[in-house]
Amino acid sequence: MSMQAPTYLRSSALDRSLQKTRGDINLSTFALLFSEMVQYSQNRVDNIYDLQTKLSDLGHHVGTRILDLYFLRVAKDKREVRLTPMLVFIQKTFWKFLFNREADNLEQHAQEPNVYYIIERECLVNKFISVPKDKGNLNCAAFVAGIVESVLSTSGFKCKVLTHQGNRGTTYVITFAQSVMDRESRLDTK
Amino acid sequence: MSRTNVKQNIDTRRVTQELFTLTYGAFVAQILNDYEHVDEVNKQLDKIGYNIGVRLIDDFLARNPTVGRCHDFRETADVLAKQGFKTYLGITPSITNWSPAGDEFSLLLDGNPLTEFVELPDGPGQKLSYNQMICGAIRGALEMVQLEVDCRFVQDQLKGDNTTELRVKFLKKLEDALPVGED
Amino acid sequence: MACCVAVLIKENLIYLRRSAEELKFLFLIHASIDILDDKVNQLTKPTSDRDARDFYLGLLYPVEEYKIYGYVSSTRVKFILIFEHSTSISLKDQDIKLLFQRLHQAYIDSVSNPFYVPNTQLKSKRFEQVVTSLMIQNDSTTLPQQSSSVVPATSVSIPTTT
Repeated sequence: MSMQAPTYLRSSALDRSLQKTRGDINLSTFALLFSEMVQYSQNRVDNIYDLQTKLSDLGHHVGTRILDLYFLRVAKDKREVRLTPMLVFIQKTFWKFLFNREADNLEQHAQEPNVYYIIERECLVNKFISVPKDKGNLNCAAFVAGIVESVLSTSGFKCKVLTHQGNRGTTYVITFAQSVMDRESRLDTK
Repeated sequence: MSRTNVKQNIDTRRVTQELFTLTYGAFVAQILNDYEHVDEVNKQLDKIGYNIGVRLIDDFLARNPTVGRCHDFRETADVLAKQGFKTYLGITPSITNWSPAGDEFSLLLDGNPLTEFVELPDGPGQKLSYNQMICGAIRGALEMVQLEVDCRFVQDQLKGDNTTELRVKFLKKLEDALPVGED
Repeated sequence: MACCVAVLIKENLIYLRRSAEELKFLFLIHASIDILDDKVNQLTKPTSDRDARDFYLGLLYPVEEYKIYGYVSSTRVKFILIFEHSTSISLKDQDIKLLFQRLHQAYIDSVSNPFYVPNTQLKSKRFEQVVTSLMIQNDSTTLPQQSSSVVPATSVSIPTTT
């Protein structure tokens, strides 16, 4: 059935080495594409909440695909199995892979052990979107939140990620499912 | 090249190609979901590209202060392929198939970051012009420098062709072009 | 070389290709799921001797005429390769690991396709080609007619015992 595929497929799929050299793309290209994506989505929703959900969904689409790509191309075949190293990995390594720099802080909620924060003083996607006055609460970082949520969830750390904009910049509020916390404490006692 | 510092500064602003590729993929998949007809999707992608192109040109001219007004269409083709594509997509398409009149040429895109993982969906999706955004972007960017062109794909590797060929045809010089946003 | 290639998400078989339409492969795969899950859970214990983060899980179990190997990605996608005993004798762990990596790479490329809906059947031409190469590679004696005897992927659901 697939034996008659054109030659370009054969060469790209079979001859490509496992470790493809890493490529970057101009931020302007990405910024303009992202801004078109926000505008397109905005024309199809009634309120900011739905718009953020749409952006988060698009982030999910990217997130489910990008983690494995990262592992295979950059980190070879290693995975994190514990919560804290995984979060540090997201804040530092993965952020650097995506945006060429680390997120500024990683913190844990003082009272609730299943809530963590990743804080970014200047969120890349917010930087090049100027939000109109009437949409003051719109936070395009919802897209990044969607990526983070799906990356964590698909690697076995089920969670919900929301964004919060404050004087410290953009905060990603990560709330892990109880099952994740239970597993962690089981592993701690072993 | 007295502006090296500025240039370097700009060039460090990059994101990983995978992020860009997958984001475009997510976007196209969403549009395909939203519209009933693939022709409409292609139109949308073209429009998105156009909007990007009209903005991109400013950035381009700021980065490349040495690029002046092109004397002829051949020069335009050169700048487009060797500087435009290189800066924004990281590829340099080859320029071929000039028409005898010198008003039409082809760009061959061999490997393009947008299509890295793409296999078109079956059925009507086979008619999708996945790269159509590029056409729109060229049209938009050139319009801002008073060139009206027609831009379309005549071959597409995603559809099983041996190469991806983009045809650019000069239509006319715009006199007092106003930056009109397309909607 | 490999006579069966399978990809699973949890217990769902999203890809299967066999050198022959035989039910026994399904049973072998099904038996592998639990072993794979066990192995991954073992790995999360600090006492495990293998590096907890290695995707390649090695030989799962040998049966009379087959050897079954497993690999689990960071996103918990399970890959299973089954070899006939006779052909796998010359294969070292490193070789098999490499085959898995190629399979994994192809899998990632296919699911990165924006039009692939996650957790559904894999129907990618590129992926098929890589699988074909895994099934015929090094098998130089039987190269030409091999492609016709390879049964294309079909969607088969595995009966779950639980």
